[in-house]
Amino acid sequence: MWWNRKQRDFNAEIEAHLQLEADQFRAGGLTPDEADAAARRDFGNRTLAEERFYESQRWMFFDTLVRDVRFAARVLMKDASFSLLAILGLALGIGLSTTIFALINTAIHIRSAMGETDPGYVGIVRTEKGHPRAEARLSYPDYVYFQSRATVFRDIKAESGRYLFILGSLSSRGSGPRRRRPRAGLIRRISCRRRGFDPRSAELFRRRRSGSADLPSR
Amino acid sequence: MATQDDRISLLQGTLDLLILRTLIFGAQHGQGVARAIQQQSEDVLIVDHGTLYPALQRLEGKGWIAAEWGLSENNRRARFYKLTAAGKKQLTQETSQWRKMAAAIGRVLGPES
Repeated sequence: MWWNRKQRDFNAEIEAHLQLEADQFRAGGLTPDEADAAARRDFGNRTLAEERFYESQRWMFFDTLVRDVRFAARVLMKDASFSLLAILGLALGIGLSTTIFALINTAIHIRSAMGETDPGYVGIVRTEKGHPRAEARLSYPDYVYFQSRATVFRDIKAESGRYLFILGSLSSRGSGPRRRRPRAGLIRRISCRRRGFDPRSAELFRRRRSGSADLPSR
Repeated sequence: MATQDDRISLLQGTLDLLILRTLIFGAQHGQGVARAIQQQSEDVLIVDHGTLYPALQRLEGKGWIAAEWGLSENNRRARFYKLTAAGKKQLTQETSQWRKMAAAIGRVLGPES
């Protein structure tokens, strides 16, 4: 069948054609060499005909793909140490960029999630760091004062440089008239500040009945 | 016999028709088909041998011709093609279409001045 035809069979047919053609030229009086040359000249591009047949017998996409893979394998094997180095370099680069992306993506995601879902992390008031009287500038009663009059922000976090003051609702429960009044508290400095702040994990110091805070000893 | 300048290349799509027509006289190998077309056209039509074999392959694929290896008159091994029943039917159809088209084009061009 034509679809099972081998390239070798097609090439043999072309060769037979050239011989038959050369025979005719010889019968016309040409020398064997001249007849062969004339037959080849009359036929035209033999390689093109063979290539057309080759391409008609295959799915050229897969054929090219296999050839490309084999060529790549040969080139890589030619200098195996260099190839290994290149592959390791690529792997390291891809791994590093993936890790950096994952870190940045996670950080953005955490900040976004906290801002949206955590009611204790909306507004920040900060005293000047390094100022000798930094902590004296903003006391806990000040925060309570701000908190009781806060109408714009639902929650406020303040940092003195030594302690973190959280004013506002750490957890807002209920709704309408039965909604709990936001609680205020002083929390200890969080050891993992550099990696982020999670009010839910902070230790709260309850307010005394007199109204002053149970401040931690220095 | 036509001179070199009188020779013309085959029109696109006409090679298949000419191959089928040539094979109606009996089985023939590729070189014989090419020669027959040139001789019957009095050397006006040039058959590019490079395109002849892909055309034979295409016709075989369509089932209009069948092929098998045999020996030529000068005892050379060659692949002989013969017309199938489907090929004969196709030849009749294409011949009819070609005659209609040639007549129509002739009418458009008008009488030879």
